[in-house]
Formats: sequence, C-alpha cells, structure tokens
Amino acid sequence: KASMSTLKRDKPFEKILVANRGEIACRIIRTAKRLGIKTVAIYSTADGNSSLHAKMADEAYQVGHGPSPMESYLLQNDVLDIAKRNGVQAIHPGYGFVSENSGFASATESAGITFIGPGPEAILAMGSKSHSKRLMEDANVPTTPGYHGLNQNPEYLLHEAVNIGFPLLIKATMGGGGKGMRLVWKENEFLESLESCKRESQAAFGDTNVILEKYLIHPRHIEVQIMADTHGNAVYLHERDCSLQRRHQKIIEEAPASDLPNELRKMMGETSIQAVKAIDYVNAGTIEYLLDTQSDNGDFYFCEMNTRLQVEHPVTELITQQDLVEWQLRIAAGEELPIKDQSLIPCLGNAMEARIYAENPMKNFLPVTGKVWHHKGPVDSNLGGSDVRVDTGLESGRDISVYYDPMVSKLIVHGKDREEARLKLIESLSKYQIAGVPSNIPFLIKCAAHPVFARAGAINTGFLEHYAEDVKVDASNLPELNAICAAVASLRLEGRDSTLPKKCSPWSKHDSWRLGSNHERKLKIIDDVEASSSLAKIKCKDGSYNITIGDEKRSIPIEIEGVIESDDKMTVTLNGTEKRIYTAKSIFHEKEGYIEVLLWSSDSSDSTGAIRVCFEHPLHEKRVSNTLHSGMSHLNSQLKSPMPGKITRLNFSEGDMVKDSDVIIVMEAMKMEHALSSKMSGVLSSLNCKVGDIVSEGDVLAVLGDDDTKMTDKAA
Amino acid sequence: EYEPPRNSYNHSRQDGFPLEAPILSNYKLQDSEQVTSAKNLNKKLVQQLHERIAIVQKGGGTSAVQKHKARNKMTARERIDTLIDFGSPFLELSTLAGMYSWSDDEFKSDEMNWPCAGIVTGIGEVAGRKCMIVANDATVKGGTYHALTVKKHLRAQEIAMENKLPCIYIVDSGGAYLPRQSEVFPDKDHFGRIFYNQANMSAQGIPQIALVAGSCTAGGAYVPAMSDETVMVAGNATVFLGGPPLVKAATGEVVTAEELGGAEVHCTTSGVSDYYVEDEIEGIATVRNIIATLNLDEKSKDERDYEEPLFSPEELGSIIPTDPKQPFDVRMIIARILDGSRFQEYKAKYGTTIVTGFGELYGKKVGIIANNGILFSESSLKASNFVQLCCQRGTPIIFLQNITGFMVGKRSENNGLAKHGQAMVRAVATANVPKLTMIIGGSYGAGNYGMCGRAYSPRFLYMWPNAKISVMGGEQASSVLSTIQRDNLERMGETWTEEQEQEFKKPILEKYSHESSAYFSSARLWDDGIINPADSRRVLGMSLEVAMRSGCEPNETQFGVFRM
Repeated sequence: KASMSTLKRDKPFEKILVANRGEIACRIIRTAKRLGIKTVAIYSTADGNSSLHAKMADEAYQVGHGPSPMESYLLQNDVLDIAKRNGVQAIHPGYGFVSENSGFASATESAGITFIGPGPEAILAMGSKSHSKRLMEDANVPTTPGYHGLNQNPEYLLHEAVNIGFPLLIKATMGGGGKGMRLVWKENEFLESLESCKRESQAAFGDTNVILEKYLIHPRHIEVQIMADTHGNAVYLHERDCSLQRRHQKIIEEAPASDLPNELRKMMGETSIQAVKAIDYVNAGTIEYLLDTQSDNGDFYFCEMNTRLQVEHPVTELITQQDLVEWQLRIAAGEELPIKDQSLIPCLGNAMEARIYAENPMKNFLPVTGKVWHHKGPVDSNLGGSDVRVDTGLESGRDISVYYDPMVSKLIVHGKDREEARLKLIESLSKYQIAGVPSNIPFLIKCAAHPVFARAGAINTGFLEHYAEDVKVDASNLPELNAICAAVASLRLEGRDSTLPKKCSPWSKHDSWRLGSNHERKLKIIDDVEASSSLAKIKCKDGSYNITIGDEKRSIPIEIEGVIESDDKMTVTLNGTEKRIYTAKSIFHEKEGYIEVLLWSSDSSDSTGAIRVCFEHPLHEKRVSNTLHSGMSHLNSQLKSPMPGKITRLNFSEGDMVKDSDVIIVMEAMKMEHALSSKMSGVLSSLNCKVGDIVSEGDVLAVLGDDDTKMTDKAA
Repeated sequence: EYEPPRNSYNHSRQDGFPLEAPILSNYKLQDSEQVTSAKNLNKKLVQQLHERIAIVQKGGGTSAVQKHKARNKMTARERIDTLIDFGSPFLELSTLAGMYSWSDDEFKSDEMNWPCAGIVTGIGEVAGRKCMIVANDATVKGGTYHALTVKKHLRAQEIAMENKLPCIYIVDSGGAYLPRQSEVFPDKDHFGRIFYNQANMSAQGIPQIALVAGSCTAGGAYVPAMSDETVMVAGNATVFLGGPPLVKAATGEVVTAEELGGAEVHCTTSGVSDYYVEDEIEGIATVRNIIATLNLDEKSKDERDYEEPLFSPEELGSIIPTDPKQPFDVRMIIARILDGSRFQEYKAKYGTTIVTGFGELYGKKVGIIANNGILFSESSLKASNFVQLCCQRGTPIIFLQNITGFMVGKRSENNGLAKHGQAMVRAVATANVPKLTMIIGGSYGAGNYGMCGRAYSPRFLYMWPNAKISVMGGEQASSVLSTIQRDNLERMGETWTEEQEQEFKKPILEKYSHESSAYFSSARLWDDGIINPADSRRVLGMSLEVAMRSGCEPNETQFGVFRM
C-alpha cells in the first residue's frame, strides 16, 4: 500500500463504489465528484435508478431483487460482484448497512478492493460491547465503574457498591429485557434490592449471580471524532455533543460541545487518540463517552466506538473546515493525514445539525411513509456550504419508503458562536418546506428555541424527559392561521389562485351565490390527534373570504383576501388591515380524501415553522370513513363465477387473510384462464369450490369476511 | 358606501370596439320622502321574501328531515350544494312554487302546501359546466309529484332544452301523488311529458344523467331508465315499475324492495343502472365525473372586462314609488343594471313611453326594452323596430316590464292601436334571440303580451316582490263590472246606491288584489322566481349567460306578416 501514497495528491482513486443509499450516498458521491473520482451507485428496487443517489453517480446498478435491505443493500456478495464487474478500486460503505460488518470488510479486501474504513479486526473488536470495553480498560480509557467479579457475598457486594458510588445498577448476569435489574439510589437500600434482584433472577434464569455498574443520571453524550492513517498518524477533530436525544435517537447534534473546560476537551481527545493507537485503528472513527453531569469532576466514561463515518459528521466538518469523506478516501488510498499536527486542526465557531424525519410529532413520532410532494430546504441541497447546508437523498415527488428509516435530510448550520448557530438553526428550520408528509420540524424548532437548550452546556440526555411538555407539538394553530389555510384549501377546491375580485362572469365569482344569501361552505379540519369538531365556514363576499373557525362552542370570524402567485408566494390581508406573506402549498391526497395545506411564513422573525392543516375533502370524506369503519358491501365480499368453467387453482384456503386484489381463484373457461381477485381486504370466510370443480355462471365461489384485525394492524 | 371600481376598466380591449355609449350619469337617487318610503317598503318586501324562501327551503319540516337523514340521506339542497363546484353559484328556479299558504286561503289545507312543490330545480356549475339540476325533495310528501311538481319539473326541462343545459336528476320520489292522479297523469303537460322530454333532449345531444338516491317507483322508474347514464346508491336506491305491494297484489310474489330493484340488481343483473356507488357522496362524485367526461366542453368562458354600474344595484328597490300612480324614470333602473351605466338609447325622443337601447351586462351586449308609461301607437312601433334590430344582430333582449296597458280611447283605436300593438306582439313573439323578462312593477293586459309575458316564452321570467300581474287592475275591473251591473239594473228599472256599488266592488277589488300578487303568480309557476330587486343585475347576468348558449345567430328570425 505504501506505493499508493505516490498517487496524485488530488485523486486518491479512479473509481469507487458507494455501498449505500440516501443522503450519505449522495454525500460521498459529492466529494468523489469534486476529487474527480468516478462513482458507482447501487440501488434497491424500492429506490430505483431515479433515486437521487443513483442519478448523481456516474454509474448505477440495481442490487438484489427486492425492496428491503435484506434483499438489496445487505447482500454483500451482490455488492462485491457489482464492484468487481465494474472495475472499482474501493468501496465506501457509508453508515449502517454493511459499514460495520467485518466480514464484508475482509471480503472486500480479499477481492482486491479497498474498503474505505478501518480493518476488519478493528470493526470486529469494537463491535462487541464487552470486548471493546476490555480493550479500552487495557488502554487506560475510563470505562463505567462496576464490579463484574465472582464473589457474590452480599456484604462484599455492598463494599464494592460503596466503592462504585450511588446510584448504581444491580444486573443479573444472565438477565435481559429489563428483568433482574435494580436501580439503587442509596446505600441503605442496597441489600434489600440485591436480595429481591437475586430472587427474581433465580426465578427467571435459575441463577443468582449479579454484576454492579455505576448508573449515570442524565449524562451528556459527548463523542470524539478521530482520524488515523496507515502511517501511524492519528488526530482528533474535536468532539460533538449529541445529548439531545429521544429514546436514544439523536435529535440535534452540535460541535464543539458547549461549556466544556478546555482541559477536559483536550483530555477526551487525547484519551481517544490513546485508544485508537492501542488498537492500531485506521480511518475515521468516533468514540462515544458519557459525561457525568452530577459531579463537577468532569468524569467521563467510554461507551462505545463507531468504526465508520457518523450521521452527524457535518458539524465536525463545519467547525474544522475539513471534508471528512476526502480524509477517508485519502487514508484508504494510503496517503498520510491531510493534517498530522493536532494543534493545526481548526476549531472555528459552532455548528449544529438537526435531523429531519418524516414522522408525526403529534402522534408520538410515528414514522410516516408516502410521497413527499414538495421538498425545499432553506438553501439548495447537497452543495456542501459552510453556513447553512442541507444533506439529503430525497427530491420532491419521491416517496418515503417503508423499507428504510424515514429521514428526509440533515440541516446543518454554522455560526461564529453557539447562539448565532442556534438562531440560524431556528430560522432555517422555519424556512424549511416539506409537503405531503408530516415532519418533526415543529418539534425541532421547539427544542432549539427552548431556553434550556439556549443555555450553553445545559443539555443532557434527560432534557426531553424534563421538558416534554414544553416541546410538545400540538395541533392548535392560531385561528387566523387555520383560516388562511382554509382559504388556501378553498382556492384549491375552486381551482383558482386569488380571492381578489376579478372582473368575470357572474357565474365565475366563486361566491356560492344563492337566492337571498350566499351559501356558507364548510370545510372540516382534520386533527391529527383526535377527531376534530373544528370547522372552517367560508363565505365569499366581494372577492374576499369571510371565514369562521371554530366548533359549536367557540368560533372566530376572520376576513381574508389573498393571492397565490405562480411560485406559491401568497400575499394575505387579514381583516382588511394586516398584511402577511407566506409560501403556501396545497396537496389533495386523493386516496385518503383530504387536502393538506402548508404555510411557511416569509417573515424571518416568525419562527413557528410550517403551519400544516388538513381538511376533509367535501367529496371524499364519507368514502374515507367507509373504507375505514363500515366494512364492505355485499358486492365486494362475494366472488362469483363470471361464466361457466373449471376451477384450476386455489391460492388461499378458508380462514386466510387476503388483501385487496389478491388472486384467489383461477378458473379455465373457453380455453382461457380467468383469475378471480378479491375486491377488498379481509378473511376468506368460505371457499365453495375445489380444484377440478365445474362451476356455473353466477356461482358464489368464495366469500370474504370483515377483517377484525385490520384496525389494530393499522394502529400498530 | 358603493364605489364602482372603475379604474380597472380596460379601454383598449381586444374584442372589438369598446362600448363608449353615454353614461346615464344624471340618475342619482335623490333624498326625498318618496325615495325613503320606497326604500322602507322595499326593505319590508325583501325581508318577507327572504323569510318565505327560508321557510320553504326547510322542505317538509324538521321531523321529516330528521327521518330522512336517519336513512343516511342528504336533503335535496345538501345534495345540490355538494354536487355543484365548490363556490359555484346556484340559480334556483321557482323556489316559491306550490307555496299556497300565504297567498291562497282556499288552498290553505295541508294537502296543498308543498314547499318548493316538492322538487328543487336550478342551474349550477358541475365540473365547470352549467347544468340543470332537478332534485326531488323526499321530505315533502315522499317526493311525490302533484300538478305543480310536474309543472316545475317540466319547466326546468324546458329551460334545459331551450338553453342546451345538461340535465342532472337526483331522484328520490314515490312517483305520482295518487290522491290527485287526474291532475298529474293524463294531460299533455303531465307526468309522461318528463320522459318525452328526456328522450327528445337526449336526441338533441343534451345529456341526461340520473343519480338515484332513494326510491324511484312506477312512472318515476323511467327517469333513470330514460337517462343516458344512471348512478344508483347502494341501500337507498330502488328502481321498479311496480313496488313490492303491487307485485304481491298482482302475482302473489313476495319480494323485498332491494331484491326487486336495488342498486346491486340494476348494476349487476338488469343493466338498468350503470354505476354502483356505496353512498351519496360517492354517487355525487360519480355524477361529477360523468359530467367531466361528456366531451361537451363549456364554450370558452368569454370573460370580458366590464365596468360595474355607476350606481349601486342595491338601490334598485328604492326607485319605484310606493304609489304606483306616481311616475318615475325607468332609466333609474337601467342605470343600475347595465355595465358602467352606459346606455346607447335608440329613438330617445320618439314614443317616449317606452325606452329602448343597447348596453352591456357583464361584458355581453344586450338590448333593453323598458316601459316608461303606458303604450301608445308610437311606442309600440318603436319597440317593434327595436326588436327587429336586435334580431338582425343576434342581440339578446331584456324586457323591464312595468305596464298598465295600451292607451285606450277613440283616437287610439281609430289610429290603429290594435294594429300597432299587433306589430309589437308579433315582433316579440317571433323574435328568435334570447329574451329575458323582469316584471318590476305592473303587468296588465295586452301590455304583458307586448312586453314578453310568460306566453311569449322568454328564456327566463322573474318578478320583483312588489310586482302585480292580472288582466287589468282591480279598480278597472271592478269599474267595468259595476258599469255593466249598473246598466243591467237600470235597464230593469232598478236603482243602485253608491253604497251598493261599493259593496259590489269590494270582493272584486279583493280578489284582484289577491290574485295579482307576485306570490300568487310564483306559486303557480307563472314565473321563474321572485327576486330581490338588488339581485337583478346578478340574476339577469347569470340568466343571460345561460340564454346565450343558443339563439344568438344574427338575422335568423322570420317575423311573419306584419299588419301595416
């Protein structure tokens, strides 16, 4: 490999394969392009060759024959085959999928292709929690204090417990799934908890052995980015703080960690280099630590090491002004680190990253799939950029698929200090436009705008536990925002862009004119949380809308005039006086029967983010509820023989669940095969024929019953 | 405060020379006692009109509506509101047909009080195309047809036929009202004519679409059967010639309505219906799709720039004096109806008791013929002349009718008034261009004929709530009758005191007053509806656009033989 270091400095490889999808594949291809490296993308049937990463690459090939990762991106041999067939020199695995699979890494190397990442041994070693912990202990990296010994004498365990300090966890050695685990807050509770833990463990696992481990209350999650080359050089590119988490899912990451003493930062960095050197680690890696927030000693403990590029690597890139993917490529090509002197690694300002997901913060963050009709970040996507940057693998009109995580993009901002970065994050999130699926943006804005988040160093992993109510996203928009959305929905239903009086035929005034009065149109607001009784009542007079928002108890009248221009810019006049400018989008979800309206304020001081209101389509509401609740008609439930013929195949048996359009029976008549498909989902409650039967026209061959589990399936 | 938005008027229009006709600028409404009292009276009349409309629009009453809705049905009006485009206006016709209770004591029985005559008709836009909608109101006597229901249904079809409007029938009816079958079934313009019209409109290429949302029994079964395309709502819709009771009586066969003629039977077995839908909403959506796929595109909307009138149409009700004997200038009315109050008046100084001229209504050229006093020979000739002009040019005519009659007397008659009246009546009768009539005041005698009364087939005829219609005024009638009576008595040598004469006149006056009211007329479908004067410009504008769908070809009229 030493010979490779003589390669031209600006082009570590001629051609690489990116064994990934989505934003990270696009991210890697972007750097490769800049360096003049040809790229090969792979795609699953779900992503297809029109997905952004496949389009960005010079070549793209389908991997596997199915949509799921198991049938595509995880098929190591297929990935390698594509690499070999197309003459790539190296494979970048991105994150996830095959990135931390030592088997894949060694198979790649065996095939004579460079794996852009650490060696298989390092991946394997760091992949095991217990093994990595032992290795780190040997390298003098602090790990969570605990007792893992064989002496199970309660008094001795108490002695060890006092050494470790409280609170601590008693864990049954054989335990798992929360069973056989006790959290002990105080010394005098220890023996009692120990006894009950042993009792439970005996009953559950037939074993009473326990281990003790220090329990960190709401620690901070700090991770150090390291880079090491094959020449023995290793540096750290400072740390990231990923403490803002929801159920171990990172939400907003930042670099550097705020309010951390310089000595501590240095110590964490140097400890990490120590660790890396101890295991001869090469390429990019991240060492995650938990920082104890209960003591002022700055105690930190090794948690795990990620032997790949992290999702949140861009925040490091923005403060160091380095391209980590380029570093990875150069290291893999055998070059020395672009910067070998630790003191020369820049650390400028602060960067933050928010992960934008297609999930519904009003429905317990339920992931959402479906078409993203409109996707427009505050800046153009995938251009890098040192101020505001959007990394994404998604384009407008593409689907969030059920097969992958519902990440839409990463929004990364940089400021000269943390506050500037934070305000920029809020502003950029507010301008971020996604339509078609709900997103977590309102939640992200609330988190970023929270006073505790605003305070340097105040965030720890307990933030969302403490402030859940503060950052809760609820559906209750201000009435005037609902009214503006109703106006947008109404304009869409009327097929026009403007409420302004236009000289037109008296038939085209869209005012629902009736003898005596103007008819009041009603649009039902669909609340994400619960069935809403809220209505928008719309009257039109002289070109403006008079919209009343509310339910039986309370309603507020608002007068609206508005024009939507071709670029979705909407100028609104509220109650004849207040002028506002929005970007407005409306989408008719035909199958679901509702109209989704989104508004983004163009006032930069307005940080509410997207306003999203859904209205029942007046012509589709009932059909929606029909398919959901009232079961099916007699017509759809019966499968009748369309003509006399012979049954040749039965694809289901009685009691089977069938989906709409499943072929249930195949019959032969007039020398032709006829497939009889179900017209609804349900249970095949009776099958009145068998293969070989001769049936007459109109015979009921099968009957479908209501599927009682349908609703629960949906809920799950 | 009314402000005509004049600034946006584009004088350099692409569609030809702009109308630069003189503006009727001297017709501002002056503050006066007369205006104030007219305004107050109009306010009262409009309030009464809207109250009455609101009452009949409730259909068969709260409990009937509740029962109806419990069957998972929408009311006729809800169906229409959902069917027409979001925001589309709905030009409802003859809303007050069948409304006897206020206008006709002798029919004040429950049997004869049929709100809206049990059927809602009108024009609305469906998928961007103007359609005639005919919707049975099953909350009124089960949607059955009595004489006026039939008349209203036929009138809607007539309007559809004349103006080439696709028809949508929302059917929910028990068929003919059996207790009064003789008024419904046998005559030319009775029940059978509905299907005759359907067949002939279909033959003329006017689409006939039915949505069966309820029962559709006996003769009624022909509405969906005669339609070009038919939609049936599962569960509620049934179509059969003989219902289960009749079948049982006739053959002894016991069968349910669903088995006999439900949506499934007709959509899968009999082929009587073409679309099977789960509920009314889906049915309405299906009808909209049918209309959208007719391959019958609305003529390009031809929307031109226009000016609002110089004076507010809201003032229309404050012009006609409360005392019908007081004169007023009908140009006051014209100035509040025409675009920009611009009026190219024809023969302004000749036959001054009738006002004729050209103007525009929502950018469309119209001729106006408006009474401004009684008709003399000259005014008749002037009007006849003007009708000829309009026919020559294919310009629709709006008649603003306020006429006590032709000038009588020796001089007039000897001058050939009947001959001159003939010219006007003939010209109006044969004019091939669209005619719209609005009765703004009186409509008496031969004046009604010359000014395009109902018998002269205006495409639409509306009345103001103050309007009166009868063969002559009550006073004239009672005088004529009492003169005859006095002559008879005196011939027999009897005497007749002043008191006796007053006693004789009183019931005649009452009868005439009662029978000449706009409500008496509207209840019997002598018109297409009573409208708020303030809505006149809008209603005429909408009607004009509908009427212009046919008959605007220039020089198409054959006038016949004028007696000169």
